Amino acid sequence: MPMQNEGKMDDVILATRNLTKRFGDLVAVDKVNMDVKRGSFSVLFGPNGAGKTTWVNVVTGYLKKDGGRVLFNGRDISDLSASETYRLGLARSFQIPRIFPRLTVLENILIAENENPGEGFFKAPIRASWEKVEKETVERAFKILEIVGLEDRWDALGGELSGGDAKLLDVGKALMSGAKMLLIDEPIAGVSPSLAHTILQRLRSIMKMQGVTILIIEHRLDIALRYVDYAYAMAGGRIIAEGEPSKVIKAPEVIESYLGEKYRIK
Amino acid sequence: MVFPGIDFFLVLIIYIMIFLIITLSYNLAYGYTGIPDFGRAMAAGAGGFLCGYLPGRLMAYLMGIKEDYLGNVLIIVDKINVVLEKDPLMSIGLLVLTLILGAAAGGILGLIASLPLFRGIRLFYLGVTLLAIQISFNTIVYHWEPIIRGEFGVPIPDPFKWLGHYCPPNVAPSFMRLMGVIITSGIVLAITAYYCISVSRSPLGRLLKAIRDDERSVEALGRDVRKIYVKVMTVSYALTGMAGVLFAFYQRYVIGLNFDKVAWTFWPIAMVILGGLANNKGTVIGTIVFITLKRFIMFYKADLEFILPFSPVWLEGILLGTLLMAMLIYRPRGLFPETPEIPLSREEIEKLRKRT
Repeated sequence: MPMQNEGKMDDVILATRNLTKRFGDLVAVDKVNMDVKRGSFSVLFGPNGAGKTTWVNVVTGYLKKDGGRVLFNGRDISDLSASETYRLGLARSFQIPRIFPRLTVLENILIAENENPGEGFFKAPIRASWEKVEKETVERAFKILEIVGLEDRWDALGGELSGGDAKLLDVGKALMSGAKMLLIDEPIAGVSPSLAHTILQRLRSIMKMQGVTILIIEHRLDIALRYVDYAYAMAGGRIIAEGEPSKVIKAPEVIESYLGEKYRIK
Repeated sequence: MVFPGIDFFLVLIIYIMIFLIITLSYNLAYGYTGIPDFGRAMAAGAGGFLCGYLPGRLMAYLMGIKEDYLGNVLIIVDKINVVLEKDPLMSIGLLVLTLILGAAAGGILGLIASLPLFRGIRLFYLGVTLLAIQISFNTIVYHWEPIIRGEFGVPIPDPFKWLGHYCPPNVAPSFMRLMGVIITSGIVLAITAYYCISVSRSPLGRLLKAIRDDERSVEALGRDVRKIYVKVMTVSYALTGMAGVLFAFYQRYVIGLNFDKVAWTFWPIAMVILGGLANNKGTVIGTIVFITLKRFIMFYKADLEFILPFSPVWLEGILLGTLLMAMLIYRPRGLFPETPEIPLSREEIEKLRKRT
């Protein structure tokens, strides 16, 4: 398999070096070396318990690593918290969309902007101190809503959205933050095939139009592999194959990890 | 049956205003931010007990009184009141200073009480911790006599006494005093209401609601949620601290049993639940309904003694408890359920949308 890190380090937006995470005796992430190319649309897949979500949690600061390093834009972010990582431009979404059910769709997007002076305890009661910024933010939010196709539903409550729309809103939140890279956990899980295609098409156009690097974690490879440029296969906490999606899916290690020893291609 | 007189209604207004300060600030912490605060009484107590501790000693110092303050507190406070009665500026100064210090005491207590959050304690356990801290706080004040003589309590200098001295001849001094308390409470309530309502309709209000709905997700969006919790507790406790000061000044006496958890923590929670969480209008209505009902029950308690098959002492608790249970069963979101509060108006948003 061709290794992506054969290229220049400048081309790499996110890299992990010997990244390790243990839960007692279980090694969930085992010395993972991974390079994600800037401006790419990639998928990380693997059977249940492969360590994909744990890897995302460690990379984004939700879990503390037990070894190795995480580099984002050339900077070591291994020991940063989730909020610090986010502020640097590495945003994530969760397997189950984390939508604020009692806020409107527009407000869900606006929350992602964290430079609003109106969030200060002294400035909040003085409307004049935040009104201008708020208006500019609302304009930007509508542009994002248009990208994710939710502009007509701006005043619906987050809790009223369908599963697919909630996932798109989750992506919208990440885009609103001005993220340079999105880690999206199972964007098409539990949605109909047609909506799954729509979501991935939108993600791809976001990647192209906004220049955002996107890495999705996904099980539904029949759909996902049609849209991504690069694939990483993970099993037992290790990257077992990576490269062009059509080749990775046929790799013996990948088939074995999904189907077991007897299906191994001799 | 006796009808209540004007004083009853003036006192009712005072109670409503003082409790509105508490419930609006409580709604900010619980309704909007989701902090299960079971320690509200200590915020009011911080202001109230400070009122029993500080203004009298300060005035005694300024007047050059060298006697043991607590040992001669009744005489000393009488002497202070003679001075305050003739000096409106000094009275107003003392009132404003105590309100500011009461807010500071409440705020500092809120800050300290919420520090366990930085040790990784979860929000629910913070609620229980606050209840424990509040019980400890009241126990200390009750048993440690150097503060306010515990169960005996202390009289408090009266910053409204001058109103009686300068009142027109046909007006009762007690009426003027009550009016003074009402106006002062009204000003503090206006500040509290302005702050709480403005915040609820600002980007901060939106952020607080988001934290309440899913704190982890807000953290993922780059906010330090624990710091925000601590700030909310500090601000909310500071506002409640002023309510404690007002109550103590109104009573003119404070004892170690004041600011107990039932009246100052659980009843305010009931008022907010009755009105509707995260809805300031609901909180106002809930508080007015609750306090009015409570005061009328107390007023007619004696008349009901011969009608009820049980002691009317229990009536207040039974009625209000039943009302609360009925609310939780039939209208769990309160009289006025939460509605979206968007910082910009709908028209403004539509205009911005068209522009994009």
